Amino acid sequence: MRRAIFLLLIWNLSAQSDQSIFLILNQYDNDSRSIDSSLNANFEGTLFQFTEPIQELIADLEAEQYPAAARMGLVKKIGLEYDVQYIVNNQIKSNNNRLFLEGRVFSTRSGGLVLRRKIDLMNYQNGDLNELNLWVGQIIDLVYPGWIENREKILFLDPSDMTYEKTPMGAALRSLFVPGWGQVYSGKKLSSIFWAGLELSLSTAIILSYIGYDNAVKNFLQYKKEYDETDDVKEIASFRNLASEEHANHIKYNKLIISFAAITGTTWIANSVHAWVVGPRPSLKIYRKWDSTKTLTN
Amino acid sequence: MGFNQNSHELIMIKKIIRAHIFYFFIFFLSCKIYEKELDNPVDEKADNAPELPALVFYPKSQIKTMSDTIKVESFIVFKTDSLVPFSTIELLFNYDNNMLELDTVVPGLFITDTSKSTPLFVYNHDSTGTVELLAYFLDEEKVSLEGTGHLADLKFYPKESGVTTIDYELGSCFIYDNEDNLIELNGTRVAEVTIQ
Repeated sequence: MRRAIFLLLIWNLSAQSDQSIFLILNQYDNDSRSIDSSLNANFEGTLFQFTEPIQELIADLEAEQYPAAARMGLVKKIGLEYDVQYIVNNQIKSNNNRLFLEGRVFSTRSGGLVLRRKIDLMNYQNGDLNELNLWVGQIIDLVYPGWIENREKILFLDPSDMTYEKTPMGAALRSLFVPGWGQVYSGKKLSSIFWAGLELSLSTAIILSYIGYDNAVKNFLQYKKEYDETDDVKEIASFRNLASEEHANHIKYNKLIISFAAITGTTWIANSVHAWVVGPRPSLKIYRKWDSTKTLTN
Repeated sequence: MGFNQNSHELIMIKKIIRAHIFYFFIFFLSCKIYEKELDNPVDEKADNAPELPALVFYPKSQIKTMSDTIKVESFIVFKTDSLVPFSTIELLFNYDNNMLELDTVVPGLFITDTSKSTPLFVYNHDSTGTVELLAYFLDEEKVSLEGTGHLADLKFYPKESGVTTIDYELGSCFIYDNEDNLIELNGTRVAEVTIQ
């Protein structure tokens, strides 16, 4: 019943004018698949014209400073040529069960790019057709509820069903193991460089302090041995001074090691906490795997 | 908190923390603070230096076997900022004659002015483990010696194993200047010998 009302609305809309509303320029990576005919069937009437993709319309569009206004002249010209209100371009690719769909809608009245979207989904059966139906339906404000239901089928309704490949705890653990790793895992490359660099610098300071400590200890023990083994008054005074100096050095470097180690440890934990804070979390739109036991509604 | 935090992650956390604690523990163990024990008996600033001027033995301790000869050096130590010239020494040493047997006593480098002169040097010892030493500095140009220096070497043979000491009897030890004025001695240090 709802579908009948919907199709009646479409028929009324198209009956108001002979002008086609859409010029569809679909571009597939696989010629064997075409959804143009399905689109025509879902939106009965003379709403669509189909033609080959016009490369100069979309070529390097993203590289333009103002993509929305970059092809105004061309869009208007095509609009006049085909006598349509909108030009819809879709680049559709599929790889195994993955669907990539990049769509753009141009208004021939203004010549501007009025809508654009990208879709990258797994296991979305007939997703290209469903999304195109929704895409067109939303533009003319006539969306068949079954298409929305189809899309909702890939939404998780129960959060406990969701599984995450990446978690904040995973990020924190990685950063606890190697500073900055958790940030890389979360895609925060700048902060990963910061944390890794900071820990590297502090670790280097510890190592340098340790080398200084080790040298001071070796020298102290050597001078002490020579001090103990001599009975020459001048040598005793000399070795006493040298041993005292190296003893003071080894205490100084020991304090430096403890200070740097404390800072390093604190920073290490802070880095892990930071990785947890900026760790990957669920986005607002989460889709689940397509349940093939359920049939499409349309 | 991720939905997938499970026991595996908790185990990982524990392992990582344990590893970090272990490495920090090892690291800090390798960074100990050494005691500054500078206690050469001849050093006027030694940790356990007696009040100066003092008579000391060098080395302060030694470990020997029954087949070794034991040499103990007798020194007089002055403060470098309050040196007193002297020319005569009378010393009395005590040792345990059950463990040690005196071989000989020979002049030290200082009393011979680094072998430039020959002092009058005599000693007596009895069966009770006491050695009396009398030495006069004799030189054609100098009348006295000044500073910290080596007075005599005492050589012993070990008689049985154990730990024993050789010490000065301060009340019977005297040093004099070239005008026979007594120079006060304020302290002594013993020598420890371990015979294995």
